[in-house]
Amino acid sequence: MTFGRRLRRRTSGVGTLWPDTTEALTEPTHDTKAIEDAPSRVPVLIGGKIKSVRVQPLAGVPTLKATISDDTGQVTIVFLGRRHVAGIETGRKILCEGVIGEQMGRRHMLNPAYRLL
Amino acid sequence: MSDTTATTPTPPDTSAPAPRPTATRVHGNHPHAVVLPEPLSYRMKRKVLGPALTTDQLEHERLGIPTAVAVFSSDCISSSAYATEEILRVLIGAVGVFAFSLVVPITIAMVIVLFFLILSYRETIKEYPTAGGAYMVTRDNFGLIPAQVAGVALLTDYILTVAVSVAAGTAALVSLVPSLGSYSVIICLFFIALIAGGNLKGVKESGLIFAIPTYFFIAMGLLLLGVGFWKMGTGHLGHLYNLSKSWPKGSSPHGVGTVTAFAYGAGLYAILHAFASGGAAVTGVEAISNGVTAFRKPEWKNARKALMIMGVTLGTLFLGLSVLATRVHPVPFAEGTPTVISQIGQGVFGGKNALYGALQIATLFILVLAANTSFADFPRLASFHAGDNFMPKQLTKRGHRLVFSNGILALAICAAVLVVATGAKVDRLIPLYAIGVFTSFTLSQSGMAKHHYTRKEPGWRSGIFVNGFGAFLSLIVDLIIAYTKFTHGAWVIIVLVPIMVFGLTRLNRQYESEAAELEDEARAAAAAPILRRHVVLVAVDKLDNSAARAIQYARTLVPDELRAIHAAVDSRASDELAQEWSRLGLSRVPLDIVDCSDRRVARSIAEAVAEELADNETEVTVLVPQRKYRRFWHTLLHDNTSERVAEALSTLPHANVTFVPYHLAGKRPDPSRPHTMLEH
Repeated sequence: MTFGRRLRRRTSGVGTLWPDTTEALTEPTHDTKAIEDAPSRVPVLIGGKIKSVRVQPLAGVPTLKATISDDTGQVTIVFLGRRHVAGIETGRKILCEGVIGEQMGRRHMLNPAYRLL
Repeated sequence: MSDTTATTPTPPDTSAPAPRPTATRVHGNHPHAVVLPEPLSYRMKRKVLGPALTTDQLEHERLGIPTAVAVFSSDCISSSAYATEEILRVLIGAVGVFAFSLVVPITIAMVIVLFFLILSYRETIKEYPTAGGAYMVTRDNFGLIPAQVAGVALLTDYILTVAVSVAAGTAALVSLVPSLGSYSVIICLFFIALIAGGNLKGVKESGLIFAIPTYFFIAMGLLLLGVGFWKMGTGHLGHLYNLSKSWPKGSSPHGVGTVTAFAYGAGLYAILHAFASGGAAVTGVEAISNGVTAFRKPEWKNARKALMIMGVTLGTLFLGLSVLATRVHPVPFAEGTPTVISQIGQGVFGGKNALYGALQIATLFILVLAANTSFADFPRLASFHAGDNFMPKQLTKRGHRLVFSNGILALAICAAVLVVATGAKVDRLIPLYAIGVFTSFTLSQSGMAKHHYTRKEPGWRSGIFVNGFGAFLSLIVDLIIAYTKFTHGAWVIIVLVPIMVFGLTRLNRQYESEAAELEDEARAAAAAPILRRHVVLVAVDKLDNSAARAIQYARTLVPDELRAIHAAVDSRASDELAQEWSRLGLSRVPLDIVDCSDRRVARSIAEAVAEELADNETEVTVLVPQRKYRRFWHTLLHDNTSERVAEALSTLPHANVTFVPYHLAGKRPDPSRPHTMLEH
């Protein structure tokens, strides 16, 4: 491998967005699955960082959507009937337990049980 | 393919203010007519340069022979003002006073070269009456790359013509007023700026400005020769400096023949070197062939006549001055002033009298005009290069006054740099000079010879002879110049031209590949099926009027999905925004707050966009509110995140950025104006 290529690989920016995430969440105490490997339609425990939160305006259906991401992939957690859930903010780390469903290529988890870390 | 488009929706303030005289009122009768004010820079430009010329005013007037001679030959004829001096400078350095016996033979040799060049250019004018010039002839006959050599060589020489002419003109002025000597660089720069300014304004190729100085110089030159020869005939013309006592015994220089001078050590090298320096005299011969289209009909016949007049005038003045020099014994000074022609004038007119003053003024004017000829030719030649994709495209653009403004500026800057670098000394510029012209002569004349050979039109045999010999002669002169002046500075050109040509071919490859990529299956791409989904994201920093404008604009669009997006740099600010947002009455527009703990807003937005693009059937438009500040320094008070967002998205395919401008009017908001959607 040439030096230039090595340097490019080092600096390419492809890789982990939050390198510490997996480490923190795959400790034996939490029996989490990597989001990529988490199966659909069965209860799973996943963990990750809240990447984005969607705010619905007043006139919309009250829903709170947030995207959880670890190194491997991402899942949108949906709190139906809520406009605001305390602690669901971008940048927080969270453990979620629920059933993942797929819709138009996107993975959702409805009303998960969660624990903020 | 990502692209950046800018929309200009109507400004929030639709109650248009009274139109300023410098503003255009579009659809003037409509009550909400939009007023387009002219920017300050344009108003300034119009003050300085005058009103813009429309494109149909391009057709320039046709010139009769007398005017044409004045317009095109000032460069060429003006060379006589310094050619003798440069020959003498080399000779005196090599052989001392015997120089004066060699100057006439060398001048005659140069005039012979001039004669054949004129013959050759007569052919060129006839064969290429529309777009002459070395570049076109070489391109037609040898292809693009040799044309670059010819063109670049000519371009460097146009730059040098400006520098040499202005420096020589300043020298003429300093000879007249010696106290100006220490300001010569500044005077040169002033002249360059003056000529460049005049050309940017679009000095018409119209007569008087050119005719008066040119004919004034020719008249003064002929008067000088007439008086000089009359005095010579009557034996009244003596040496300017009475130095004969200090010369070696029995060697009164004008009594010494050429053969004797050889014996005194005038080596072949010195003679060739002097000849090479004299080569400066014939620069500018090509000017008429570049401008045949400007002549009255029949163009090529008139151009030929003008060429002959120019050649005869230059030959007469050059030879005459050299002959007079053998009598007056002017000395080229290291400082460049007083000039040889001024010393001859002093000797002939008998001191620094009115006639002498008139000669100096005439010299100054024609030299400045000669620089002006380059300002006409350089931009045009550069535009040819650029038109063939060998130079930056900006050089093809005609400016405010229909002239190639960028070419004019480029020439002015290059010439100014040269003048400053050489301290406005003609003798330091001369070694760089002429080599380029003779290179382009060689190429264009051999191009003409090839042209005759391939066409085989009537008279092609004599054509081949004339142009072939012209090419041969130019090549010889070129080699002599390169050889003798190499160490004196010609190496700069010899090194520079190939580098430039290499650079231009690289530039060309770049342009060609760009064009190929841009045009490749463009029609098929335009008709190709579109992506299934369109997502519009409005980038919102906080809920202010600029964001409101963007949201309003977004609501006029009909995408499959419309969202606002906010990068959460400061959690308190984003909480606040989230609360405000949830109170808005916009059911269609949810707000995504994305994590931005590394504070790279543009990156966070790009990542969100990339996520939308992941299914490969989505077109994303990001609406970026852009605050338009009234004053330049207002802009400096803010970071330009909007630009950075656009930049970060520019590499993503199918990501598009639309700027939604919000113009800060600089007045307090009017609460009665319901133009925003921020009702609570």
